[in-house]
Formats: sequence, structure tokens, C-alpha cells
Amino acid sequence: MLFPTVTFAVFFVTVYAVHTALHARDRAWKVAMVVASYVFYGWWDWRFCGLLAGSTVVNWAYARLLTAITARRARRALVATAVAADLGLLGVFKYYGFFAEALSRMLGASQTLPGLDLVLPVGISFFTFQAISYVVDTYRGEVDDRSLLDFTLYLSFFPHLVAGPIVRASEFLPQLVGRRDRTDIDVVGAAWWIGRGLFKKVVVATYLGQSVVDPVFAAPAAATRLELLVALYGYALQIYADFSGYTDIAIGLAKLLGIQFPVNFDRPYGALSIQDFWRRWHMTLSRWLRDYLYVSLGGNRRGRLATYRNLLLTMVLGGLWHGAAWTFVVWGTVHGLALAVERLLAGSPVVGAAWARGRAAVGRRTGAAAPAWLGPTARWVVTFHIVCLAWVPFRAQSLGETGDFLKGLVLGPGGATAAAGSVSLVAVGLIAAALAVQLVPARQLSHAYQRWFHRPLSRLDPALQSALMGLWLSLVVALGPQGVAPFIYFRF
Amino acid sequence: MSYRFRNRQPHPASRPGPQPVAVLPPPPAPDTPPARGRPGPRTVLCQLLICFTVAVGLSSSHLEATAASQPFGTGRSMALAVAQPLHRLAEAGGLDRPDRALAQLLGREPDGPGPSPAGPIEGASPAAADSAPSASQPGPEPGLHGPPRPASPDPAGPAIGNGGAPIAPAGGNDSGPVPELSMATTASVPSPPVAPAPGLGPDVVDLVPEVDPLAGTGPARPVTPGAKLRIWAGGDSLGEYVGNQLLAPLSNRDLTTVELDFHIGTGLTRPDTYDWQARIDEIMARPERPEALVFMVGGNDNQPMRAGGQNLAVGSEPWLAEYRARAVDLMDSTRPPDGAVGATHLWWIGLPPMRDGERDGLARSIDAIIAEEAAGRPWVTFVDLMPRFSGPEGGFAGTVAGPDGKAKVARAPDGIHITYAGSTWIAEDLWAEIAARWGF
Repeated sequence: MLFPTVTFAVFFVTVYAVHTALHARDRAWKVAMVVASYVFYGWWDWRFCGLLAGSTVVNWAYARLLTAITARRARRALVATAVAADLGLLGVFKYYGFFAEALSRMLGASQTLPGLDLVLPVGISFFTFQAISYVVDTYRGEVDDRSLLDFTLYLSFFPHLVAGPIVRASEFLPQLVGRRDRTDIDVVGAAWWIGRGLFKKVVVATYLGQSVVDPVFAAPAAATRLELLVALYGYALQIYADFSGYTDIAIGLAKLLGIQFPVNFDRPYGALSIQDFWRRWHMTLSRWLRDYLYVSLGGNRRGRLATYRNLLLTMVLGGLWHGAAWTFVVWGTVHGLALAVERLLAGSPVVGAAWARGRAAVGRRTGAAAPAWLGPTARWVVTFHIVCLAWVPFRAQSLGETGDFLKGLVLGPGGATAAAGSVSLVAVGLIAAALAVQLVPARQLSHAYQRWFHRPLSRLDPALQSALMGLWLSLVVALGPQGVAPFIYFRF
Repeated sequence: MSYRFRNRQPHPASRPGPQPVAVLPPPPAPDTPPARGRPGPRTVLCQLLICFTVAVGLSSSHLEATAASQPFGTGRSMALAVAQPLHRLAEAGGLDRPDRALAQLLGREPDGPGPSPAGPIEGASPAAADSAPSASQPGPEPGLHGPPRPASPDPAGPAIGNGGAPIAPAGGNDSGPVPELSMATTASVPSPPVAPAPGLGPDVVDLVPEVDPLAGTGPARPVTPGAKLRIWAGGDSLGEYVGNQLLAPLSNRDLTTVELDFHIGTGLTRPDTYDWQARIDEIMARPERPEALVFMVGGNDNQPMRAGGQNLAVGSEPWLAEYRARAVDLMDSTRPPDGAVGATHLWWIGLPPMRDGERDGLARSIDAIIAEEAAGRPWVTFVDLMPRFSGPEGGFAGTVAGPDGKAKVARAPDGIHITYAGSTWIAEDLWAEIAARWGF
């Protein structure tokens, strides 16, 4: 059941009717939301519900034990077992084939491990990470022991179930206490999130995917340099529109149900460094990786070399989280290396001196002081292109395809269009516009949002508000293609 | 990513008291006091209903098109029973005008239940291969329709030899024999009896033509830069990967022009969604019609068909007979005209093994039909993907040995689509076959 479909609209209105009837009755409301979430999840395959329920019960039991036991060593062993069980589940469904293939290659073609050919349950990476965070936070004493019902709702709550954001127990569970947030609803704010999410996914991501990116990535060797370049930028914007569109809708839906989710994206392509990029892109994953992986590896407490190693390891494993393929390993490695190099250069006096000499040289040539925007612009250009180039293996199906794409980008035929014919004024204009929005300062966006959207809409009669939302919805339907491709992040 | 984690602050949402709405813009925290009091759930429910009513009224044609594209059966009938009156009502009230005006502005065909190159419809055919138009995106889990019954006693389809010269895999083979793509025509295969389609009313007739066994087997014309070979490749998303890979060796050559004509979410079962027969008739009626045709459908055909006023359960005998009739019709539309022997050749690419058992059974039944019908038509070659894409036990395998003998991931995670590598193998073999036939 995808968000931008008639099926989901019917489902959500039904759920909301139940929510309206039960919101004042705490326990009944929680049970109803759990049932709705399992219906939502079972829509893909009812067998997945058993997996989700099993993971829920096991992790809750571990957390209960962690609360009950006080002996430090026993608690450590318990949390390690719980995390191992979660990762084991993820490993079987997601990584068995990958490692079996890698091992078979190492052993030679004649000795192959049996393939399981398991279907990857939708959203397994997301709910497993949330389960791990609950157990670890319980171990760290950051969350209180909660009832099975609360924990079940936390893990399965349908707006975030299949593609995030990765909500922490400490953010979600306090909201289940009392009913204050479920009776005072910021409809206009929710409409903003849902409306813009739908536009990003249905119109921007689908158009860029179908018209610009897919034809080029399908046969990169046949595309011109210009087509490859446009596809490179196009995919960066497509995956942003697709994934942030999903989480925008999720945030808006949860808001209507009286639950607040953390923000997941903040104009990531306006970042001036890779570190900055990860503060703005999939923020809930990056903080998860930071708090549960990077910190566990030792973080920056064991010297510079260990810090670089930890950065690299964190990002490689973060890459693998996205999928069991070498292409994701390469993507993670590029980001890990970039983070390490950035950190190395940031503290280097040599680099600082070189930059100062460069600015002075520019000043001497132009006869004036080097403009203040020069440094940030250079940093933005470098960061943006590292991120875009790293998306190539992320999108490609194989390292061979990645190689074809990158080779074509440098050595491919010139000219505007070849076989793919993906370069059009609309495509270039859409990419430029989407990128331009990322570069607008947050304060101005905030001001524009308040002045032109939230304040005027909030003053309108609720019926008129609804009519305008309906109008927007029909505009999105009209501008989008028939049918909606699944969200890219569903496979992670 | 911030790695300065010391003195980490708890997330604002974990603090006691009222929760902030958003952590970072955009949009910014919309906590400024609204002019009106914020509504409760009852008002919001009413607002949702008004919002959807307006949206449905203004987008009724899309709703009807979505309903019409559902698989034939009760669900579709029920969806249409709701959507059609709504659309008529919207039309009567002129609510569909903005949508039509916008479609006209964008140069699009307004949505309707009639034939149109439609994209995948979520929920329309839950088992449709093109629920995942890109292998980078997983499709919804396949649903299951009626059990397919293999048309051939041999689940792998009839034994088909290679009609032309063996198509050698590119590169060496250092780890044992690698299954080749089997391309079959009647040139070397005795024609099996072609089963006539049973009578199913006016929509279904015995379309098996009287075949001239020599048509299409003559020498092809010389291909020169001044008289390029016209190649057309069409089909669904499964075929699109192969078609796109065909571009790599062909597009930069001076001797060929390639036209790609792929429509995701299509097949032979739903001409109301996209009519391949009409499309093939159209392109074959051109003054400069394509000479080499590459066609691949079937991945979306695990759904009921409608013929003779009946819904035919997927995989049933009448369904298989109707499928055969449609495939035959399509093959015959590509027949070279009299006196133009060898002028046109169709490579019909079969389906690979599927991970889902029922889908796999149907794929083998479809392959068997296409192989049998191609065997009676010299201008048609059936490209059998089963041998190359099968695992050691003959079934689905995500990873198989490539032409160089090295194991490669050949199938997309959805267990339906073929990866870049797998598509490249097929395209390379096809390319060799096309080049050999036209002698360039």
C-alpha cells in the first residue's frame, strides 16, 4: 500500500474515523493503531506481519530483562545478544545472498553456498534499527521500560513503518502518554507536509526517474556526456524528492494523528561539506549511525587514526544498510573517505595557509579583496559533486554499470542527445529549480512559509481549507503520470 | 553528520511538556498562534472527507482509468461501479474541465478507460512485473492469481534447438559450459502441431494462418550507411532493459537505426490498457517499416483476460488458448509481405524463470506457447531465456554464470526483472544474431 494511491486514501480515512472515535480512550486508541499498522504492513504480504510481531516480542522481552537485571556483565551480555539477534534477522533476509555469493567467488565457482532466495520484507531495516535503538537505550537507561502495547505501536506505527524516519523510542513513547497532542491538530502544518511530499514524489521524482534518469542508467554506454551529466544531477534530485517526499508525507500523516516525527531532511544539497551533508540528509539515520555505531566503535576518543577508521567503517556499514551489494559499499566508502579527508584537511595548518595564499593571489590579480562568497561557493561545488558522483554506484545495478557511466561522463560522445534523448528544457529547468530551492537560506524559507502559507491558510474557514487541499491533490494527480512507482527507499 | 556527541542533548520531542512540531526548516516550526483555534479530530475528519471529495470530483477521469486498469474480476467491477458514476457526475457538472484543460496544455491524452500507454497501476495488478518500473525500485509483493497450468507436459517448454548458427557467448568460458540463449526458428526445428484456439465467441477465432514455410528465410538485403537497417524494440519493462542494452552496440554504428517502444505495465492480456496489436499494426503499416523487431512481454500477463464476454481465469485452458491467439495475431502482423522474403524478422524474447512459483509456472506456459507458434513461422525466432537464467536445479536463480563463466547477479531483487548484466548478455547475443542475419 503506497501513500499516493486511492487504496491508501481510503485506508487513511477509515483509520482516521477510528482515531476520531477512540482518541480519548488511550488503550483502545493504541490497540486500534496497532491493528491499522499491521493491516497496512500485511497489505504487502501477510507473512511479514509474523516477522514484525516476532521481532517486537523478542526485543520487548530483552528490554524487560535489561530493566530487571542489575548485574553489569549480565546486562552487557544481554544487550549484545539482543543486538546480535536483530542483526542476525537482518543478515538472513538481507545479506545472506550477498555474502554467500562473495564466499562462493572466493572458494571458486565449483563450491557454492546454497541460495535462499528469500523475499526481503519491506521496511525490515527500518524497524530493526528502531528495535535496536530501544534495547540499547534501555540498556543505557535513556528510556523507561514500557508496556508491550506501547512498544508494539512504537515499532509498527504505520506512517514510519516501511521507510522511516527512524524515530527513537525516547521521541515516540512519551507522546503516547496522555492525549493532549491528539486533540489539538495543526491541520495546515500537516497539509503542508503531505502536500509537498506528494508533489515531490508523484510529480518531481517520477518525472525525473522516467524521463531523465532511467533511460540513461539503462544504457550509459549509449548516452552522450551531456545526457550523463543531466542524469547525474537528475538522480541526485530524484532520490531526494522520492525519499524526502515519503518522509514528508509520513510526518504529515503522523501529525494528523497527534504524533510528532523528527525532521529527516534539511536542504541537503545546500551543504558546504560532507559532514554538513550528513547533518541534512536522512538525519534520523545519520544520528542512529552516530549514536549506535560510531560511538560504539570508539568515536573520536582514541586518536586521529582511529577516528578516521571509525568514520570509514561507519559509512561503509551505513552503505551496506542500504543494500547487499558492492555498489552500496562503494557509495559508503566514498562518503567515509570524504569525511575522513575533510577532517584531516580541516585541522591542517598547511591547507589553511594554502587557502590564504590562494585568496591573496586572487586579490592581487583582481585588484580587490577576494569576494567572501568565493570560499563557500567552492566548498559547495566540491561537496555537491562528490555527493552526486557517489550516487552513481548507489543507482547503478553493478560496478560495471558504474564504470560505464563514469567512463562515459569523461570519454563519452559529445552532443546534446543520443539514444536516450533525455535532455529537455523541462528536465533541465526542473533540476535547476529543485536545486535552487535547496540553496535558499532556511530563515527565508521559514519566513515565506509563514507569510504565504501557514498564516493565510490558518485564517480560512476549515471547509475552504479542505477544498484548497483537494484542489492541490487533484493538481498533483493531473501533473503526475498514471500509476506511481514504489518509493526507492522501500527496498532498504 | 555530527560526530561531536559529547554532551548530546536529548531530542526536543523527548522533553516534557508540549512537543515542538518540527526541528528544522523547511518548513519551519508552524507554532505561531493561528487565527482560528486548532481543530479536533472530528473537524479534521470532516476536512479530510471534503478534501477527498473535491479531489475525486476534479480527478474523476484518473479514478476511472485506475479502476478500469484493475485485473478483470469482482474487484475491478466494484471499482468501476463506484468510479464510473462519479466520473459521469463530474462530467455533467463540468468538474472534469480543469483536468482536461491541463492535459491539453501538457500535450497529454486525457485519462480514460480506453487504450493508452499506461504506466503501472499500484494495486491494478499486484503481481505485475512492472509494478517495479525500474529495477532500482522494488515492486509491491506479487499477488497470486489462479494457478497456471503448463501448456506443455515439459515444464521447461518444448525442446527448442537453435535455428541459426549457434550463438556463442562472448568471451571465453573457463568454468564449464554456460547455457546459451536458445534462439529457435523452424529452419531447424520440426514444427509441432499448432493447437487451434477453442471457440470463445467473436473475440476468439482460430487465427493460425496458412504458413508459407519458406517465407522470411531468404537472404536479407545488404545494409549500408545509405540504407541502414531499421531496428525496432518494444515490450514491457522486462524487455526495456534488453532493448536499452541493444542501444549500446548499435546506436553508435552507421548501419542501424534503433527505435525503442517500451510501455511499462503492459502485455497481451490487457489491450484495454495498451494495445500491442494495434501498435504493431501501426508500425508495420509504415512505408519504411522496421526490419528487425525485438519484442518481449509477458511479465505483466499474470492476470485474467476478457474475451467473448467472459473473464478468463489466469492460466486456465481458455486463458492459454486466448493468449496463444493473441500472440499468433501479433506474430502474423510482422510477416514479411509477399515477394519480400527475409525483409522482416521478429525476435520474440521469452520469459526467464521467476522466483514466485506460480508466476514461474505461468512464465513457462507462456514461453511454451510462444515457442510453439514461433516454430511454425520462419520469420519469428523465439529467444529462450530459461536455460541461461536457470539455477543448477533448473529453477530461479538470482546469480548465474555469465558468458565468461563467472557468477553474476542476473536478476533484480524483485525476482522478476533482469539486471543490467543479464540484459547485456541477451542484447549481445541478439546483436550477434541481427548482425549475422544482415551480414554486417
